[in-house]
Amino acid sequence: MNRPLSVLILDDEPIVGKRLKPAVEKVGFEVETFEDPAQALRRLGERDFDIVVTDVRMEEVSGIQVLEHVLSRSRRTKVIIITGYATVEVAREALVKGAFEFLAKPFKPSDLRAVMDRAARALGHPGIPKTPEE
Amino acid sequence: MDLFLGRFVTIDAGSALQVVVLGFIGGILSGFIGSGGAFFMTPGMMNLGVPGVVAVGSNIAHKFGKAMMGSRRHKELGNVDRRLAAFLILTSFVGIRLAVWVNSLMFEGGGGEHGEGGSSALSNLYISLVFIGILAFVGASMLKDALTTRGEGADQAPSPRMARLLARVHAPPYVNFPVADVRVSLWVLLIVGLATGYMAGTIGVGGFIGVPAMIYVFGVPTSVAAGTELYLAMYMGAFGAINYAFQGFVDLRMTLLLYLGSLVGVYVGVYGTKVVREVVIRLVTGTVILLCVFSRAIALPAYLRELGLVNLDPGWDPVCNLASKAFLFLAGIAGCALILVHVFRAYRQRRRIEATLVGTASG
Amino acid sequence: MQIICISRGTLRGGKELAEGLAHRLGVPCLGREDLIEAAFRDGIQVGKLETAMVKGGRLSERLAIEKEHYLAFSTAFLCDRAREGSLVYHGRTGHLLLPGVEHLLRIRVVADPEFRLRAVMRDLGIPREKARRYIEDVDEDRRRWVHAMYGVSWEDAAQYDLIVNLHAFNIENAAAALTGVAQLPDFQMSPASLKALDDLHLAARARVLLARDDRTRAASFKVTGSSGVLTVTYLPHSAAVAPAIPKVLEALEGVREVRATMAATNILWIEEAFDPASESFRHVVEVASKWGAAVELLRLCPAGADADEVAAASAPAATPPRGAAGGIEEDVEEPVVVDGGLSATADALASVGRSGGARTVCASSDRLIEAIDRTVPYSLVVVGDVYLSKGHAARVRLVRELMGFLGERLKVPTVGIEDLKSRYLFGRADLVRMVGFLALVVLVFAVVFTNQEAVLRFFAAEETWARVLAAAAAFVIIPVVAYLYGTVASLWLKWIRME
Repeated sequence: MNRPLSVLILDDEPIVGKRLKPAVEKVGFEVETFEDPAQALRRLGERDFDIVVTDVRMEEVSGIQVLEHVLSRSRRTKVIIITGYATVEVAREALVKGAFEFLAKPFKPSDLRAVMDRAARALGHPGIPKTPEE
Repeated sequence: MDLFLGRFVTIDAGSALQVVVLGFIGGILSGFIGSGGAFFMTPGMMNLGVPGVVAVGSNIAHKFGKAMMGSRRHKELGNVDRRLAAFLILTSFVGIRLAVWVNSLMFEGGGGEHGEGGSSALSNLYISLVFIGILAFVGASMLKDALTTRGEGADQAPSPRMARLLARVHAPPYVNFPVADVRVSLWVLLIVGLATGYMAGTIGVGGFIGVPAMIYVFGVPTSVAAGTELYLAMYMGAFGAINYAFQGFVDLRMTLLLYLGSLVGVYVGVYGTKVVREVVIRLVTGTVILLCVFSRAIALPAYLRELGLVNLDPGWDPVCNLASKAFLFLAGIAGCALILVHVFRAYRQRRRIEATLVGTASG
Repeated sequence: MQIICISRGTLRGGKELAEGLAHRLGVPCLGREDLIEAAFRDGIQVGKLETAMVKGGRLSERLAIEKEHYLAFSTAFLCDRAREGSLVYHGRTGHLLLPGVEHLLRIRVVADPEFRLRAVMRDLGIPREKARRYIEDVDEDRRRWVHAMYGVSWEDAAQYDLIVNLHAFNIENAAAALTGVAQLPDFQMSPASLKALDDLHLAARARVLLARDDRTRAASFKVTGSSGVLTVTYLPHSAAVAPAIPKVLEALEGVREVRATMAATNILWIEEAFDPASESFRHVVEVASKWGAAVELLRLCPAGADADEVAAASAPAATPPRGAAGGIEEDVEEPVVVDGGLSATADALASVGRSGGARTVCASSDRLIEAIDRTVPYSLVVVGDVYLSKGHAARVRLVRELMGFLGERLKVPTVGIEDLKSRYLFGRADLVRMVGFLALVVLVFAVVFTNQEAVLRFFAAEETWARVLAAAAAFVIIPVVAYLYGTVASLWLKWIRME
């Protein structure tokens, strides 16, 4: 049962999705990226993702709201919060509300992959293989 | 002097000088790293033909006095959590006692005191194996840290998996430590203290467990961990020295000769830490430790042969021993040379800048 | 002109109180959020620093430098705003952003657990148990933050002038009460504190510039400013960037001179009057050269009523600010003109490349501690002649008290200037001691090595009583030899100037 895990990446800066998508797909995840939180929420209404990666500070909708929305629909989804504008208050709020991990920008794609690997294992998935086989 | 049951060796001018050099290099390394040094001196003495137990015993006795000199300063700085130290000291005593008991047993049981050939082979083998096991792990993880932090990122301090696991143990009762400002489960404290004591007692290297455990498992600030470790080393050294002396395994001559080099070396090493970057410190330390491990591994076949476990031409013994010794000194001298080069370069640079400053001020 | 710093620790209510107070005083109100926003835009990785607290509170080498950037930026940010006039700042650590500036009004706001719990439950929409965990975690993180960034304990009540508990006060009334306090003359900036603010501002702007420039951004610096003279201290391993320092700072407005000093360690030298021609100066410089240390000068002039005569005699023409009443004695201090040899000594230090900055603090010894940057790793504090206006007996007592106090609070060895020579410089007494100890060591070695067999037999005894004796002997002999030879070794290294 090694189906690829589905990942949604939401960040209102286009460059973030553009850079993370190939980096995460490389290790065998299925990735959808969004820049518009409203669109992402709509997509989240259509299907459940295994892992959701979201920025905190965006126009209209905050990452915390995305987190709450995701967990209210699917408790098993692992939500990873990424942000440059992190304070302990925001980080603790995200964690207490059920975020899987909190990652401060700037980070390297490998940092995110390491967190995703742990998330995948927590989902009962074998995780990212040490050498990605295509 | 062979009538002392093969415990002590004859010391001539040449071997005395070697011990002093061992002490000097060990001192530089221990001042540079902040703890340890024993990982270099113990195998060095074993290479001189000193039985492992006596090497460990003499080295612990040496560590006792050295730590006593060091802890006076640290206490002045208030970097010692007395409560933490007290807990660790008490548990480590149990570990040391256990280690001394095991070591003495091995020495007396192994190969027979008057038996043909090796009287101390079994205990030598045991000490070498523990030495190799622990230090290979320590050296490898240190190198790994140094190499990974070399890249741009990696802000997370290194935390071995074992430490993280222990840190997650939430088993009451808890103990609060005021200076270090942490709360630790009593059980974790007992395990760490016991392990530290056992390692200190077996190979004379306890700091390699104690300091990382305090930092990564207990979450103690680094300065407090280093200060507390010195305090701890003093008590563990004292207790170890008394125990080994009671068993008759302290060679006072060795201890005195070690001091001759190490107390000077320590200052040079401490100076080195001020001018060398942290990554380089870890790199040098890791490499030296791994080379020490390798040197010890080369010495193993001789012990195995003495025990009759493998069939080897006894003619190979001197070769192995010489190779082992060569590697050890190579490791020590290379490491020290690197440190000294850095010290010297920093010194020169400072002089130059001072000169330019004085020039502009007067001109 | 005044600056009011409100340290919020309540999670809710502190901001409202600050805004209410600012509104009543008719001054602008600035929050930590504004500061962070600006720091973020300046490219400082605030998020990384904050997240490090959540993950245990330890800073890597790189983050430690990011911390310097952040601290300098916050000080510069606050000083920038303060230059335009009075303000109210609210945040975790407002009271620590302007070290050494007197007459700030520092208020801490606390609230009882139930109040905070309810506020969090309401605002975050989480159940009670989670809210409790959230508060515990955030408090712990903040404690770590204050500790990691400023090296002090957040809870220490002595850092604040007032603590307001929102349990009994409602925010409106608390703001009204604080308005009265804020108008007291004790909390109006004096010329001395304005100068301290200017110096701080200059140093902070310089540090920010160093952080922005690619040539110097990766290195650690300590910058102090005094009347336009900037002293930049750097560590030996970043000596390579030293030539870039003056170039980076030349564009900075208000700088008269830049002094760059390499420091392996720092020595803090406290005096009431400095003299570059004195014996003390020579000793301090000698110790500093030996250690590769920078010397920071701190001129301590007496505070409170004792200062009356001194002040009146030295600076009669000073203009007191509004509300000239008790508690502002040091206003008449004129640090630029009558500085007790401070600037002359600083210049002399700079000429030998040992300058670590200089400044004047007029305060009692317990306030003095606030003026000392506790994140600087001082290796020695030297206390010279202070409290000159006191009689001899009182002065001796006060100096001893000050030294004890500093040693205890800074956790650094503290010596009097007259002991400096005997402790850290190689004198005749040291030579005698070295030779004497060396002779003892030689004796011990000779005895042991001429009687090797007897010694070994003694240590490898069989009978229990003899074994106990051997253990006891080891316990006594080894530390004695270590002490004797250790002293010889350290004295010898002191002699050849390698420490």
